[in-house]
Amino acid sequence: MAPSRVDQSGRVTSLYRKYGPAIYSRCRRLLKDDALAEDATQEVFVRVLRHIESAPDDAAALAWIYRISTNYCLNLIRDRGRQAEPTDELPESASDHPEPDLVDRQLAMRLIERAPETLRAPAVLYYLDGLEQEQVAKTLGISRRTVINRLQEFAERSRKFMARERGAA
Amino acid sequence: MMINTRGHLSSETIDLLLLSALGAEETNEAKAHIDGCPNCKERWRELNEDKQRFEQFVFARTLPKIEERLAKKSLWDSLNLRLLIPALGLGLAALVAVVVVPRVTGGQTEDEVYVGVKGKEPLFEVFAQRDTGSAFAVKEGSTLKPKDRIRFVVNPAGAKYVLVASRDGKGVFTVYHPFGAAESAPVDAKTPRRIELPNAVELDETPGAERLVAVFSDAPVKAAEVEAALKANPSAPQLGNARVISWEFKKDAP
Repeated sequence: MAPSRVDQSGRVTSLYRKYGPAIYSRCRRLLKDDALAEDATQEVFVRVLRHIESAPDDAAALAWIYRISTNYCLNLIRDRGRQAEPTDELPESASDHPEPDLVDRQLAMRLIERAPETLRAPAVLYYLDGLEQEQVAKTLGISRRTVINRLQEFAERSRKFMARERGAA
Repeated sequence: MMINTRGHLSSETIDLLLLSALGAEETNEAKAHIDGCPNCKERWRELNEDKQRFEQFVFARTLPKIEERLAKKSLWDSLNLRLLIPALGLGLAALVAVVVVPRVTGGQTEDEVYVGVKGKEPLFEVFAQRDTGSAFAVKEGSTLKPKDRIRFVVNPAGAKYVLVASRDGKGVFTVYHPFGAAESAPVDAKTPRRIELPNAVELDETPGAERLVAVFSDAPVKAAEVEAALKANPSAPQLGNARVISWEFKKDAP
């Protein structure tokens, strides 16, 4: 028998109450804008719902949430960037090597915003979320080799960018 | 091992901890790490703050919108299924498409609203923030206060230019986007997504009904033309081939 409207509504409410905070937090931290984050949370939840309904456990549900919310927010950030909004200067950094600096999540996010689109999602999951390369690959549905290549390219670009910034300062 | 190769807990582990989805041993290990790691402690604090904020404000505000969208989507899906039943025939299918669908979706499916399809209706949303509180959606008839900050989100649906303006309770016309400009600004029509327009506008102290107008067009539109159209027909301004969305909110006296 198909679930009644009331059952379905109760299930959605329960899933939203459970996973909504994780979605909202990701959107808020990536977008850095409360209004956009609130809106993005609804959009992501509607898109992720059928996946988390059938996820075998919480870790699998979170993987879908990471994948869809990361891509959704990065698209919003890209669109916002195309509006020629003035961007902040990069903060001062203590090292010429991007890896240690990427512990600074604020700096990491600014470097990610400047990176080509294909490098952004792996960089978010690896540097901001602290996932291992294998987990990044599974979350995004790409091979580990591709993840390694993209992270290497991201690190290389970031290193050059930061060296240029210091040279210009 | 829960600690990653860089010596921290991953977001996944912290989220699972917050969901109480880790085993007892893992929970203890994660909590012990958080206690001794400033980096992970800060992320734990952030996640808890966001969770609290979500539960106190965001959940109640957004759940009805989600339920409404899912109900529409469900109805839309069932209509699509019916269209596949050959017994209905093309005539009935056409009738359903012409008569029923616009009532159900306002002309757009949920996915079309998200991605934007050229030829479909554009989208214009307004969000406000009061003091340091959470942002909230502004709809027709909403009441705002002086000093509230408002931001605009549009989906141009293929239009190349957008202008957002207002006519306040005293009849003063102001261009909000691009702020103070004489004509509409280009918008990325090739990126069919909802776009947040840059900058927020802080409302002044003029009380009464304030009419907002968003003009979507394929060529620049002069602000003076928008002002004239608003003056001529405040509730439904007409601007040639441009697509116009217009509605009012109320502003309390200070």
